[in-house]
Amino acid sequence: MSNNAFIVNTESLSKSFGKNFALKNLNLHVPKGITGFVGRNGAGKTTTIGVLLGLLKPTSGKASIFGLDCWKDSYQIRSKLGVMHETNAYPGGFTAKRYLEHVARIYGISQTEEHINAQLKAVDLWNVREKPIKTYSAGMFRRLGLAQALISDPELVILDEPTANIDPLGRATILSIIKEMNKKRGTSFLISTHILSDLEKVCSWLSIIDAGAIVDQGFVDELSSKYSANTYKIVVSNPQFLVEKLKSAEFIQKVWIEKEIVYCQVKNEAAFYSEVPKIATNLKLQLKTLQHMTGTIEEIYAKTAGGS
Amino acid sequence: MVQHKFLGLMCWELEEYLSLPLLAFLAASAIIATLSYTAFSDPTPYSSLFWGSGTVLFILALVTGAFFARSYAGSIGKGEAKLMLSYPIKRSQLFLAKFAALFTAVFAIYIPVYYLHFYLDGLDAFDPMIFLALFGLLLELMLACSVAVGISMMTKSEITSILATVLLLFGLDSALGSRNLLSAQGRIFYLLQYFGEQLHGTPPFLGEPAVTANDTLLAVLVPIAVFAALIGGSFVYFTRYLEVD
Repeated sequence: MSNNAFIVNTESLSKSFGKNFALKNLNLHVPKGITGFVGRNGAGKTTTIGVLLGLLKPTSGKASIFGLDCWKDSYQIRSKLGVMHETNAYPGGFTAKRYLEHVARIYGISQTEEHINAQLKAVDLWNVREKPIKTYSAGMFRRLGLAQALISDPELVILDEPTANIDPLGRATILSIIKEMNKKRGTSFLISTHILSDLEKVCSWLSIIDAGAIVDQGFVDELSSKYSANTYKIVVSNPQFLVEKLKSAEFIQKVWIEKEIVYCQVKNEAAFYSEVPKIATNLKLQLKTLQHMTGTIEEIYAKTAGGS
Repeated sequence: MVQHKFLGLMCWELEEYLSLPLLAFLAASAIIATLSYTAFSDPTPYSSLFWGSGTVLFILALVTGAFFARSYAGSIGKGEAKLMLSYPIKRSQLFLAKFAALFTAVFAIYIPVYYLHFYLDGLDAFDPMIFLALFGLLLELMLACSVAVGISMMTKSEITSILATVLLLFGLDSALGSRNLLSAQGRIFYLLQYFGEQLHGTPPFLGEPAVTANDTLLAVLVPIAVFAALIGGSFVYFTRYLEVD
C-alpha cells in the first residue's frame, strides 16, 4: 500500500524526554477501518498518541493525519477526530448530559439535545444521564469516554486503552459499539491496547510497537499467515509417542507439545501430510486432528514484540 | 464561531467551579476577610480603607493563588488540559477562557463584598476614595493571578504552584512592610494618600509622610508591568511550547 492509502502516517518519528527516547524512528501507518495498536506498557503507545494529537512536539521525523501535520495543523486535525484518553479527567461535578452538551457546543453541533440523547442511549448511559460523573463506575467512565469521542461523528477515533480495568461485560459492550460505528457510519478506529484478545474480535489492521519502534504492521490475515505459515497442530490419542517419532523426521523443523496438543514447524509440507498419518497408524495412535495453524493476534505479538 | 466557542469554554470553566463548592468558598472568604477587622489605630474617616485592606489582601492573595494554580497547573497535572486540547479548541482560547472565567469570578465576588463593607462602615457609597481602594485591590488581584499562572507554567504542579505563589506574595509583603510602594497594602496607602490630598487638599493620614506623584505612579505601574510580563510570557509558552503529557 502507498502512504496515500493511510489516514495516519509517521515517518522516522522520534520523541525524547531529556536523554530518554520514547519513540525511535517510528513508522506507523494506519489505513481506514479498525486498527489495533499494540505493545507492552512503556512501549510508546501513549506517547505516539500524544504526538498524533499535537500534544507533544516530535523531536525529529514527521507525523500526519489526513495528510495534515500533527503539530502545525493540530487544530484542523482535532476537528475531524474523536479521542478517548486512558486517564479519566472528566469534570466530576457535571452530569453526563451536561458534559456532552459542552462537548457538542465545542464541535459546533446543532440540534444538540437530539444528538446527545442518541449518544447516551448508544453507550447505555441514558438511565444515569442526570447523575454526577464522579459517581460513575470504571465501565461507565469508559462508555462516557466513547460517547464524547463519537459525538461529532468523526472520521477517525483514537482510543487509548478503551477496555482497561473493566469487567468482561463492559468490554463486550464497548467492542460492540466500536464494531457498530465502523459498520454503520464507516468510522475508523485506532485502538491502543495491551489486551490482545479484545482486538481479535474487532480489528482488521495491526501495528505492533516495541521499545518505541514499529516491529511489524499489516492486515491481521496477512500477519497471521506470515507468522504461522509452516505451523501445524496435531491431536492424537498419545501425543508423547508421536513427538518422540517426529523429532527425528526429516520434514520436521521443530516439534513441541502444549496441553496434550502437538505443534510442528514443517520443512516439507507434502511429506508432512503423507507421512504423519502413516506414523500414527504404525504407532497405533488415533489421529483426531491435523490442522494448519492460523495465528492469533497474541501469537503474532509474541513472535514480533516478544511478549508472552 | 470563535467567540461562541470562547464563551462556551468560559461557561464550562465557571460551571465546573460552581459544581464544586469553590465559588461558595470564595464568597465566604471574601465576607470573612472584609468583616475580620474592627480596631483602627488611626481613626480618620478613611482608616477602614487602609487598615481594613490588610486581611482582605492576605486572603485575596491566598485564594487567588490557589484558584489560578488549580486552574492551570492542576488541569495540566490531572489530565484536564490533555482532554480539552484533544477537542477542536485553540490553545489560546483555552488559556484566555480559563483566565477570563476565574478573574471575573474572583473580581465579581471580592469587589462587591469589599465595597459593601465600606458602605456599611459609614462611608459615602460614591466617595472616590472607595474606588481608589478597590483599584488597589484590583492591582493585587492582577499581581497574584499573574504570579500563580507564571509559576503554574513553570512547575505544572498544583500544590507546588499554590505554595510557591502564596509564600512569594506573603514573603514579599512581609519583607517590604505596609508603607512600601511595592507591597500590597503600601500600594493602597500610596493611592489613598496621594489622591486624598488631590481631592481634599490634605492627606487623609496626617501622621504619615506625604507621597509624590511619581511614587504613586510607580506603585500602580509595577503590578501592571509584572502582570503583563507574566501573563504574556505564560500565554506564549502555553500556546507555542507547552507539551501536555
